Amino acid sequence: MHTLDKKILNDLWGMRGQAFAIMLIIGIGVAVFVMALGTVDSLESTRQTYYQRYHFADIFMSVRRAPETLVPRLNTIPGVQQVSTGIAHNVVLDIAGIDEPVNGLVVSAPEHGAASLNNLHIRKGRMVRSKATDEIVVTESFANANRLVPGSFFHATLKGQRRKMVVVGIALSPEYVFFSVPGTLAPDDRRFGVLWMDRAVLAEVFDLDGAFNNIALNLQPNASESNVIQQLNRMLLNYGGVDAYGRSDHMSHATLSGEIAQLSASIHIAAPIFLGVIAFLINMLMLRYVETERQHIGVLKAFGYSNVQIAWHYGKFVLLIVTAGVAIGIAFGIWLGRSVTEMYAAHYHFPFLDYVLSPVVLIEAVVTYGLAGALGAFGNVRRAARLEPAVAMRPALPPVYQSNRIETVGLWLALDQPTHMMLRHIFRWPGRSAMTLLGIAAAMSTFIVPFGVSGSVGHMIDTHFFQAERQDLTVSFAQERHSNALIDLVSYPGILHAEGFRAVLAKLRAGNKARRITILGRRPGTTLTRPLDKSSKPMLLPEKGVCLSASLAKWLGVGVGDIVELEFLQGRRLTRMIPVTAITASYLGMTFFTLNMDLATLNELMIEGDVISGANLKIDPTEKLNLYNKLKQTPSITGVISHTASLATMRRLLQETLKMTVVNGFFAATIIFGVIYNNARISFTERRNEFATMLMLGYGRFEIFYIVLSELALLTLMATPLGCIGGYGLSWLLTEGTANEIFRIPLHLSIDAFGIALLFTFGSVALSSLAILHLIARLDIVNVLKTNE
Amino acid sequence: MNTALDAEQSILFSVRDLTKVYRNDAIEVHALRGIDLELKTGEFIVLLGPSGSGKSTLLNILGGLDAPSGGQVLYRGDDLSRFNERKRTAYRRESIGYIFQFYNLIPSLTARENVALVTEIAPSPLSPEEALTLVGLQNRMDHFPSQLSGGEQQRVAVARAIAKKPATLLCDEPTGALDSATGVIVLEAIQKVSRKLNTTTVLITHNAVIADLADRVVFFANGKISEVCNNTHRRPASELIW
Repeated sequence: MHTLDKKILNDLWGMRGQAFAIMLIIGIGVAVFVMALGTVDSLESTRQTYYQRYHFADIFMSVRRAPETLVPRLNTIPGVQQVSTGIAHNVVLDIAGIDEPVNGLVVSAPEHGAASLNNLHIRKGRMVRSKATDEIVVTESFANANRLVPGSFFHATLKGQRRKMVVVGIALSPEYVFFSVPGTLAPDDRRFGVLWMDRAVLAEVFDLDGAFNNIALNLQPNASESNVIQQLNRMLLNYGGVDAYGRSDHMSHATLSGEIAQLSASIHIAAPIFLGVIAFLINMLMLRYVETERQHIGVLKAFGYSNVQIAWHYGKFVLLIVTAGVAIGIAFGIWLGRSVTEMYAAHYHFPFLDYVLSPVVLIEAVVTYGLAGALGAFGNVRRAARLEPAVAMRPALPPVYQSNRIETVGLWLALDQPTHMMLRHIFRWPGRSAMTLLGIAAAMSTFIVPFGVSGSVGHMIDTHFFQAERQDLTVSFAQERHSNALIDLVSYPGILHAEGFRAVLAKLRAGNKARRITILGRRPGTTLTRPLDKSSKPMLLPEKGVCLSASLAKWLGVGVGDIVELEFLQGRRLTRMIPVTAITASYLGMTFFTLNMDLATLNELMIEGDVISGANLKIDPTEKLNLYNKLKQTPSITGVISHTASLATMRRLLQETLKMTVVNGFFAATIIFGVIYNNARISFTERRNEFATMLMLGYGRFEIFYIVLSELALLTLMATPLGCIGGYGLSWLLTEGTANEIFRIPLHLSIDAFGIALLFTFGSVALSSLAILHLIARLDIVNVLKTNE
Repeated sequence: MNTALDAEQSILFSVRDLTKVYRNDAIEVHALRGIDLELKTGEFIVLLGPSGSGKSTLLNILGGLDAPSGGQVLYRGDDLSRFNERKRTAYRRESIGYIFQFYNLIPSLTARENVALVTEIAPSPLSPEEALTLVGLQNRMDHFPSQLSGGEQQRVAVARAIAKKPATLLCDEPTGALDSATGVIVLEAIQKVSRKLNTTTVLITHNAVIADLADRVVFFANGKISEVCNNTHRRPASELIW
């Protein structure tokens, strides 16, 4: 080994504490980068393979009833490759162990032997046998949540008939990776399941012999999706066709895409912060290193080493740290990426996992973190290379200080000399102090972010369940009923109060933009469910016009007073122009897709009587079992959502988020400590001579400690407002930046997040100060003062 | 003016069989090999000798910056080697004034503030202004070290050392980094204040000419005192030329 290389290793060992801290931060940064991008790539690749292998359709549509004889005609639509028809119906299930009715979507199983779309991957058991009236295959998530295995059974009410259903298989489907009951915030695997039955059996139950109510299509390569959708809509209009849609409107696909995009976006926000902090830390380390190396640089140059050789020598120092950090990060990131991808794959119930880590990701990690290191090192390495040997061999001249403006303030004279030293040190290097301040602020911001994210989720849950949707149960009817049905409903055991609503599918258009949405018609002044205004306060429904969520209004580019076009996809399929009369709060996807309207106005626009499609209920908890039994046996009710159960599911989800908060908080705490400790260490080393002089003059070690601590505390204090603003901004970026038009969690940062960040930041100051106190206690006055000579 | 030593002058330091060994891994360096010396109140002593002969080690031990390996240093009857950290700090704070070759001023403080650094913690100090006037820097009080010449910086160091009215002034090569004219000005300041405050002054130098300032000259060689000379003809610093 070259002698100079040995020197580098010795120097590195001498600064092992700081070097290790920086290495660790680089490691964490690279690991998170590799993990996130690796996971994104793997999930996308797995999803794509899954879709291809199991023939996930491109276009979906429901109809009321269409004859099978239409299929050959549908096949002739230009661009269509394959058509697959089926039957799908909402049902209510009665599962032992669950009091409340469970929602099910019963779907005809892909037919034997036929090349069909949206095929199943059987995990356990087998497919249903032809004509088997009681056999079903269920989704794995539903089976796991309810501990169903082949051989288990439960009851279901199919068109008024209570039937025993025996599970014969457990399956996965690309169509139902992610699926929830409309009207719930998150999937609840226990209370919602997809069941596949033999098609002939279903056709008989639902009176769809030789007909279908569900259709899926695959497109030929390069076919136009919108053209096919247009033709399909036209051909199926007379069969009660409800507007065909592509993958982007498919709930499972859209949710999955949204989550993958969110993961990808969050890393693109986090990475620049890591890179900035790393460049800053390396800059600080090198500043100190080159300063202490001055005389060695002089000697090396006097011996004939060139500027380039000197630059390379000190460059290697940074290279070692960055290389070690990146290597640790890549190894850790690959391991973490695989684990996280496995976690996601299990969460999404993918039948297999295709873990891919593109070399591009690794190259990106090496290049960006290498650049951050180079950026941090550049100025100092250049300074080392440019030092004149004669100048370098002399001890550095003492820094030139001057009075500054703050000294004209009367208070200045009242301060003691250690405080003067501390303040002048800060103002002597305003750039560096500002960098430190920014470093601390940035670290603090990163600490606030995870709390911002989990806090926002928590707040959203509270808003939804305690402000907007306060009912105990929501029931949906098989078809519209007169509002008198409410009178019948309140006669059921345990129902204290019922409020009817009508949900209607419609196409909303403004300018050249259009969306399939659900119009929710309610009577003004309902107390169980209430629309919320933009500041999440309950509001009264305007009598006329529609209320759009803020996100939908923004997407359409409309505001209050603008006219939008509504094409009802049910009933007479009328098209109406109607003004926007209010803007409501938007959170998650649900509010994006829901339009609020006065029930009477809605029915009037559709030229229909006083009808409702479901009701929100307040129930007497002591009577709930009787009520549930009654609901399970009521054929006219095809969906029951328990809001208590939904709340519990959401709370569980929040717990998961909190776990991530702890992990992210740990990373951020490492950054905070790294920045503060490095800064304290450098500030101490730079002023060892001054401190030794003070000890010589009779100052105690705690009085010297005061200078280091107060400087650090003052900079931290000044960084605090910036850190808080930065934390808020970053959280906003993370919630808004990762929000797409559908998924959005409004930012809610509680004061606690700032409190905890402050506690951690000042805790790091205290901890770093203790480390410095230890150094002061070990300061050898004689030796330090001798080195001056 | 009292130039000769009175027999009745009280003994300030009493050094008995003082040894100092520095250990660095397997290597032992004997810096002091049994020193016996007494320093009296108001006495001006010059330590002469080659580099590594033990002068600075003795000065550091007397100043409470270093602890002896063996022997005794009594300061007004108290054994310095038994002082704990707190007592040593108080001792430095109240009784010792130190001047180094390289001034060791705090670059971020003005001349006045550098002196105030000491007066703020000493029990009954001179004011920074008085101390700076004593060394002839009354017009440079608000200058930062970087705005002062080497000689001026060293005079600030002198003012800082004597502002606490220390019983002992320890000077380690105070003129080592100065030209002769500037050196003389600094020595004048040291001589003036030590007389005025009746301070016991111990001054290390390589420059034999400076020995003429002393009441006693102590010669060091190889960690031991090789010779002690009483100087019957002390000269004022202004007369020194080198």
